[in-house]
Amino acid sequence: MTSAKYFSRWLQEAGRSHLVSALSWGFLSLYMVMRLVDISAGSEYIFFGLGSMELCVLCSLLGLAFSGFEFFYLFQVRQQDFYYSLPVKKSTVFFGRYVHGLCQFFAPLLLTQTLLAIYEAVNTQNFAPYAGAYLARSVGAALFVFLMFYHTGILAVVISGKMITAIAALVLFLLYFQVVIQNIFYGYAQEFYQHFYRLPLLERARELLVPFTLAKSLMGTGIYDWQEAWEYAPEGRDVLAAFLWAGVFLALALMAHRKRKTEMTGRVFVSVWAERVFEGAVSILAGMGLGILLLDMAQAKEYGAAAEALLMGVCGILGTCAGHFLIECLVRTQGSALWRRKWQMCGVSVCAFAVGCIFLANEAGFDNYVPEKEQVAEVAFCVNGIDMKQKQYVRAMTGDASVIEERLLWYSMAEEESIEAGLTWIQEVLEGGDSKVTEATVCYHLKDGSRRYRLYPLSQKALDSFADVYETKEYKKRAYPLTQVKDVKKGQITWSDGVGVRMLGLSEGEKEALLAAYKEDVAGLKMDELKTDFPVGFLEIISEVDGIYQEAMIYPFFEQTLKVLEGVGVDTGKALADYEIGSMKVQTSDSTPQGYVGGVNMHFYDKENDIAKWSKKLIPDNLAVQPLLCPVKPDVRAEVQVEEEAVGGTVVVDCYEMEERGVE
Amino acid sequence: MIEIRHVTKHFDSITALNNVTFTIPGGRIFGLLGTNGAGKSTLLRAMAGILSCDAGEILIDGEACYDNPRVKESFFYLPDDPYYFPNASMEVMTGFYSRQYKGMSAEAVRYMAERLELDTRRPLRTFSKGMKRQAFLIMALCANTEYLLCDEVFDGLDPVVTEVMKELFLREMKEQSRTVVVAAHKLKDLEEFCQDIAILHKGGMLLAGDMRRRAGEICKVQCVFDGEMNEKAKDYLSACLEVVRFRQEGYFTTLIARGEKSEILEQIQKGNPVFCREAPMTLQEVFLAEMEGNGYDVSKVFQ
Repeated sequence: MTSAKYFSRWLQEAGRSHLVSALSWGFLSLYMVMRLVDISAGSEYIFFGLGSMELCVLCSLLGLAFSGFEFFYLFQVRQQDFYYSLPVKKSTVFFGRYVHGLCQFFAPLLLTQTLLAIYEAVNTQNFAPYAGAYLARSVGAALFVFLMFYHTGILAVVISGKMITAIAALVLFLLYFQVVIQNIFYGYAQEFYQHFYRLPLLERARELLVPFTLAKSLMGTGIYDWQEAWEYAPEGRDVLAAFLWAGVFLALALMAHRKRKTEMTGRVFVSVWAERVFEGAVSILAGMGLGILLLDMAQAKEYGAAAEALLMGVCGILGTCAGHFLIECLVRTQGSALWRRKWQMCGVSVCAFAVGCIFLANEAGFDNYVPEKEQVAEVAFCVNGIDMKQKQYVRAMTGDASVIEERLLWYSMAEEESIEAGLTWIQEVLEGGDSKVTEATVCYHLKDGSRRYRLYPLSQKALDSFADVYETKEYKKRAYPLTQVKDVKKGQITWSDGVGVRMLGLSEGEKEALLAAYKEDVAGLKMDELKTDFPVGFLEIISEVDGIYQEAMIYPFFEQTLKVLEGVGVDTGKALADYEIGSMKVQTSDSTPQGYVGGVNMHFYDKENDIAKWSKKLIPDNLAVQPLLCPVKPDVRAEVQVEEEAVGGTVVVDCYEMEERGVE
Repeated sequence: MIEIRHVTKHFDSITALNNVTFTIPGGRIFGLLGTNGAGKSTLLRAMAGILSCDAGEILIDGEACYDNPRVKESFFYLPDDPYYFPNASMEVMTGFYSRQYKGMSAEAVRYMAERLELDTRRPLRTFSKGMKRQAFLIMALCANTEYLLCDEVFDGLDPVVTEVMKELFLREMKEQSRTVVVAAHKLKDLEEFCQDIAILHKGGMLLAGDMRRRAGEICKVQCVFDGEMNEKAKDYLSACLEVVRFRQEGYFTTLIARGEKSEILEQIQKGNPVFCREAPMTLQEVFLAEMEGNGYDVSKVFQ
């Protein structure tokens, strides 16, 4: 009873923190006004609750700011003396502040979100049925995000005796797992594993252990579709992770606060345990980080595993000692020895070394991993340079994961024949070969639900043997999706030779005949044939029924398809050189020595001879779809001004220069 | 009654309080005297329940005070530099204290502030140091708690304000029987109104008790001997009296001795002094005598 009485008093007293109220009401009101304007303007891809990155950032920042403002008294001796001399328990002051901060966030959040939900329901068609659930989920997710950061900030403040230490501790809490996973674990994996591409387990760990990543996941900030956002519910494990994150940090903060002695204010850390944990965390990071840095700089891989282990051991000890002494210099107090906590330092050094050794020990297991056929549910391939436009190929080879990820999703195969062919091919790849010509990314989707990724360097022999996979029915289904279309009777078909586009006025029977011919050509296609020539053009089919767009490359050896096309009056033999070309700009890029820029030459041609000579060497970039099998010269690009009758004007066509064999 | 039992407090390698034991009886004004760093403020903060003791205990009316709101309701802690809310006035702080202390009288605060010409609506941050001290002393007195713990309340104040504040203390003590503990590093700040004084030095307790009662057991005499007696005076008096302090300047001898006044004067008269009379003793001299008698060099305490 007494406690309740004191608590209510203290909640009132905490209300003096006007800054917290001003921040919360101010920013959330401003956010509401901005969103009201967006809703009024009918802005797409903007959401007031779930799906809003701005709300996610705002909740995170308010959580951090409130923890600092509400518990700032813990850094001030005078204020603490004042509070703790009053007839009140320390915990009452703490919870008074805590609940005040929470209420100051929750009240304006609920109010602004409710007003926005009402306004959106009135203004946006179809939103009304979702309004209640969307509002509840949005407020819940925002509250979770706030609590995660609020509790993290509180723990940082409670364990620190100085503002600067609290900021350091906060940075550690917020970024530690990000750095450990992204820079250390991924660093080790990249250093030791030849076939490393991704580690889903670490990625998931990063999503759950890095607060802002988890916050984004909770808030669904990656959503761009209205319907999806309105129906979005955070995953159970994300909610659980956020709950645990907030709960564990609050529990630790309460424990630390209970043990916190008033006189420790002004010290670096107020508890020996906090000191030790901070010291250990920083020193192990320093030990592992130095190991990664020197492994990379010294190219230790060339000297074998023993050299790598030795280097990691030395770096582990040196880095850990450096980190340990650095923190010791900061936290040591008058009279305490500098050379203390030796055993902790030794233990951390061993841990830093052991982590690296675990990765190193798993090297062979990782690189030679090929799952049993029975374990595999699906296998996905992305061979850089196969069925990939030249621009995509360049992006993929320069580390743009989006191209690879997109293709891994599309080229995921579940049929037994495909899996068997794929696994057999991978065994061949693992046997090695001559120099690398490209890379293949493989994703094994196992029956237990897990995914394993590997990145294999491919020799010419391995690339050639990919034909066994390429020629499976399922792979062709992915590579040539038009073969899966059942009915084209209602489709609109256009033909393009890379320069001009012509709509084909085909009857239903002709359309069916064209599709059937195409299917037969694809069924008989051999990968080696793709080396012989570039496509002559492509068909674009848009379904009247579902609006799905399909594009199908037509090669010179697709005889049946070409026959049907020619039968309906399409000049499939018409190439760039057959068009009337006004002028062209040819840009060649020569490699320059490191540290130099330039090397770009630009030529303009408008004379008939030059145009005739170049036009035979160029291929429109949308027909350069086999950069490995039928390559172009990526350093020679051209912009060709073509007089196109169909449009009654000039069309600019981007082209590449074909490699010699391409024009054979 | 406040019982301080074997209290020890360390700040890292520094021992701020070392096995301090004494009792502060109820209804008295108790002075805590000591140099800077002697442990006065630490002891007061421990008594106010701000600091926990590493060893020992502090009991107020038989109950431990640390993190104990029920006990804390019985005292008001007034530090040397009191905290107040930003932009708060006396009125605001009185309102705040009213919610913490049941006995707080806002009316009394207004009355006393008016008497001292303090504007209760003016922000405290605009007050001078002396005005702030007066303001908080008023609030402390008007909280009507059983105990009042004050830390260096007179430090740095001009004599007029000091007198005013002492006057306030004494008037309140007359009107209400409460226990006041005042820490100071100058004896003159305490001697006029403290009944009991404890001396802290380097975290240890040197002395505690009623100094005026002790003054009755010590006598200061000024006398003049002539001839040989003047040279032998120290030996003679030391042999027949319990001399605490002996000082001779030419023929003029000042003596502090322990014992009955009549006996001391009688023994001196036996030495045939040319002149002999009892001199009044200040509390400082009583302390010095006590401390030197115990073998401590406490000159710094009384600077």
